[in-house]
Amino acid sequence: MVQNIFFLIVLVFTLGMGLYVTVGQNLIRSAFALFFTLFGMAGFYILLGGDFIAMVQLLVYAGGIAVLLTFGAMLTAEVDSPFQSNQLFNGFWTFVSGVGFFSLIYYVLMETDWPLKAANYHEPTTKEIGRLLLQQYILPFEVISFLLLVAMVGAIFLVQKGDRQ
Amino acid sequence: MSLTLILAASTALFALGTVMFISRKNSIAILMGVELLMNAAALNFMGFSYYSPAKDHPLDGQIFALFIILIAAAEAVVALGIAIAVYKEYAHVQADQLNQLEG
Amino acid sequence: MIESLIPLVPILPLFGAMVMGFFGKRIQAAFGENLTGILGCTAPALAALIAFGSFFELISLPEEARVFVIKLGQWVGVADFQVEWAFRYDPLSALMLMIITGIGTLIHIYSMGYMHGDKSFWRFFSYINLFLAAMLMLVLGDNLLIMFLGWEGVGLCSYLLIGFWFTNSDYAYAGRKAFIVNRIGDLGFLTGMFLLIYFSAMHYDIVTLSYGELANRMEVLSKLQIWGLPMLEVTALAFFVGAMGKSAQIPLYVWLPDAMAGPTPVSALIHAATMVTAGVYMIGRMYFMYSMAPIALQTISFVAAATCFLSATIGMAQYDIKKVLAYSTVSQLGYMFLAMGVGAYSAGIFHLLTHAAFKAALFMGSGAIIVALHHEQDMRKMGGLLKKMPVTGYSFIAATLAIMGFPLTSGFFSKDEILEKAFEHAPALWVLAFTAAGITSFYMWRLVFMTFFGKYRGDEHTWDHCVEQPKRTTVPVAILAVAALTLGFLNVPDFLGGSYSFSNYLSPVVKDMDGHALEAGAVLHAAAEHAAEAEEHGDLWIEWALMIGSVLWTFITAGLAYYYYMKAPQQRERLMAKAGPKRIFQVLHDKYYVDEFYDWALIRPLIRLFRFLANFDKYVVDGAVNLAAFLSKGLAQIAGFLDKGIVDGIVNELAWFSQATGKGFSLMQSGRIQGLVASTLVLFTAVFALLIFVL
Repeated sequence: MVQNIFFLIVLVFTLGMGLYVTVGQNLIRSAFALFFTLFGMAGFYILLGGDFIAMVQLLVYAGGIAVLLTFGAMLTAEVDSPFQSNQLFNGFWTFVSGVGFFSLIYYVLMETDWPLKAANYHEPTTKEIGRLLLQQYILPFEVISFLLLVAMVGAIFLVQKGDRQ
Repeated sequence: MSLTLILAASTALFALGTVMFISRKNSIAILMGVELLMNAAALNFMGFSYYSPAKDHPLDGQIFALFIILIAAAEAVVALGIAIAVYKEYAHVQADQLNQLEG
Repeated sequence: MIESLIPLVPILPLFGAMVMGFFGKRIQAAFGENLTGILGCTAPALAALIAFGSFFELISLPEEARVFVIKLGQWVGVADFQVEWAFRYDPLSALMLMIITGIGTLIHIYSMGYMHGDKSFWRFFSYINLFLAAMLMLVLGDNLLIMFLGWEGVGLCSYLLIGFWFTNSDYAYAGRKAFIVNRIGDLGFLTGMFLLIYFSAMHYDIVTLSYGELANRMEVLSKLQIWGLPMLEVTALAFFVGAMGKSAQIPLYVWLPDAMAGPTPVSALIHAATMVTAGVYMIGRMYFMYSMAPIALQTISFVAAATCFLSATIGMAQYDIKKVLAYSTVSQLGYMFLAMGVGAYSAGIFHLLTHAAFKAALFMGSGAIIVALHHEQDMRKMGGLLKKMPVTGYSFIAATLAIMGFPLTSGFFSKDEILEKAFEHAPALWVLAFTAAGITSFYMWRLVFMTFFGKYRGDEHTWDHCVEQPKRTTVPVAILAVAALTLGFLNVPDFLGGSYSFSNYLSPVVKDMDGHALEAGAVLHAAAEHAAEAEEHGDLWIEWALMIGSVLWTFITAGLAYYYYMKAPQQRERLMAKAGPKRIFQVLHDKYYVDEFYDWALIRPLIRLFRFLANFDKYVVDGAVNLAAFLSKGLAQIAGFLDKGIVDGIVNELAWFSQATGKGFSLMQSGRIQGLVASTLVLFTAVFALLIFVL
């Protein structure tokens, strides 16, 4: 019961914020709405028994990426004219196709009979995830660490390039 | 709360992200759309991980959600780098004007 | 030992290719050509060592233990579709390994001499090492997917090597032609593979492409139908289309003669000895399928006999020394497929082996001549070279004896067996193959007489500079020539006192087909014994007659070549002066105008279509505007100055219409990725909705 109430709150909050991100006309406000959307996602994760993932979501996404995006928006957009900075085009048609897409997938979701398990995993997950990461998923883990490194070097190179020319 | 609802929420976020990706003119906004897409995918993994009938792998989906978050971080870094580089070159980041590929 | 060493065979050349490709330029710059060449030869030489060593280990085992499947790991494991990285080492692949690494190593050594002075020495060795790796993969793979990987790999290397001197646009064009023609064949291969997967998925829990498992499933699959046709026949034909492309059979043979644009070692290794035989190998590997597809086999035998005959006739009228050998290769491949088509798989593979030896020797010999004569390939400007280049010359003649089927040389045994099997199967096939054998002898001796005998017909300067090539070039040719003379004794037929030892060696993995095997596909095992029995009671005199007949026939045509090209050239000129022979010669020289036909029937219509599409906008839109202008002019004339506004309005409206149309189309080319994503989304939704709600 309590879980359902929380779920409803998180759902409405996240989707509402997501909607604002999508249709909002002010880029800075969109960025802040995105921040809250990501926050709401962390709420979902907690409800789904993923305490560690939720923390990572808060740290990396809400704390890192959202702030990064806000900075990006401030550095590049015409912040002094916020309503011109975030224009839509083909708004109507994309809206229609988006709604069509959603209703289609929703229909499929409703029609499908998902196999479910009886008991859910409710223990703290940090230990188990650490074990999995360093045993079963060690290779993807290393690959992703390397990818991050490459991405950082690449980003530095990209941004620096303009100065050198 | 049920798997269907979780998946519906994820689909909704995905649709929002797609709409944003398609309809925005500003590159930074497009990037935000991509973040929404990634979150939708991660939510899908989390949902399936929680409700999956497989007994011996209760946390595999969570691991993948973690990977998605990390990939999203890498992607955001590079994409913002590109945005900044574009801004230096053109003094704007309007995607509709960046049409050098036009044939 | 075998299990651990065999995977190294393809890996070593791959490693060599990587080293050469990544560091070759620096190695060549720092240490010079010789070291680069030696480094390039190391990997194939080691692979050859392993191949030969494992072979001797293999034959020391009892017959039933001679199949090794070496599993390295999983490649594809999607639900019930399982493909493994697995190598199969059995008598057939052991043989192919020895051919490929043995001849490959010799040709590597030879190339050190041939490519001397080329500034991208390293690139050549990198490509050719890569080729070896791909070819070995093709041969060793335990399933069709690995074979396809190698199949595509050799195609790629062939393209790279044909266009090795890509600054010459003709050579680059030849490379592209080979690539495109091969793609058409690959479509057939893929179709065959998809059919097998599709039908396996319908009837089995696990879909696999490994040969052992496929062989077990053939009986069930043979009962299935697709569009009312037996499924196995369709699959076998699809695979044969793939073989047509790779092994240059009619109608996809056109690329092979053009492929002679590549360096001669490439022609010797890829376009004579190994890659082009991949199709033959494939059919040998899939013999269990072909044995149950009689119609496909029939088709193969007819296509092969036609190829064999037609390309031999073309070979008679070429002047370019490499072109003659190229058409000869096509013709010999025809023999191999003929053997496959009549179900004599071991005979076909035996001819593959002997052909690899003598054709490689012939090509390498011609390469030595070409280098010695400063890249002169026209036989009309050669002659009398035997005195200048004795080792090359005698090796070349030895290989020529082998290809014509001189008694007791390798070609004699292998070709004779094919002819005999063809005769048993259908005399019509035999007539074509028999005629082609005579023609082969004629054009090969024509080549020898024009090149090595008589008087030199080029310019003095070249003649003075012409010398025997260095040892690294001549020794491999000589070795191959010796092999060409002696390999035949591996498979002496029983009526000559032998015991078909080669066929027996192959019999655990490739069983020849017999008339009885067709009726009850299951009794394949019994079929081999049956065949041996039938042989004993068979009419020995037919075999003797066939053998003596073909020997005499090749001698006669060789004599003809001697008469027309050595003894009495004026007779030949007199004959050629007549209208009939002259025209025939011209048609043959122009290769039956097949290239021109393809150009007219395929390429030109395609170009016309593209031009039409390109001009569509111009014709339609401009036409509409012009028409409107014309109409408006007429209207204006009729109505005088009555209503200028309406007319102008129509014109403007039409102009606006055409503009809008153009704009609408140009939207697709906006260069905006978002637009592409949007259309993808719409399309996805539409297709998905269709699938759910309509179908």
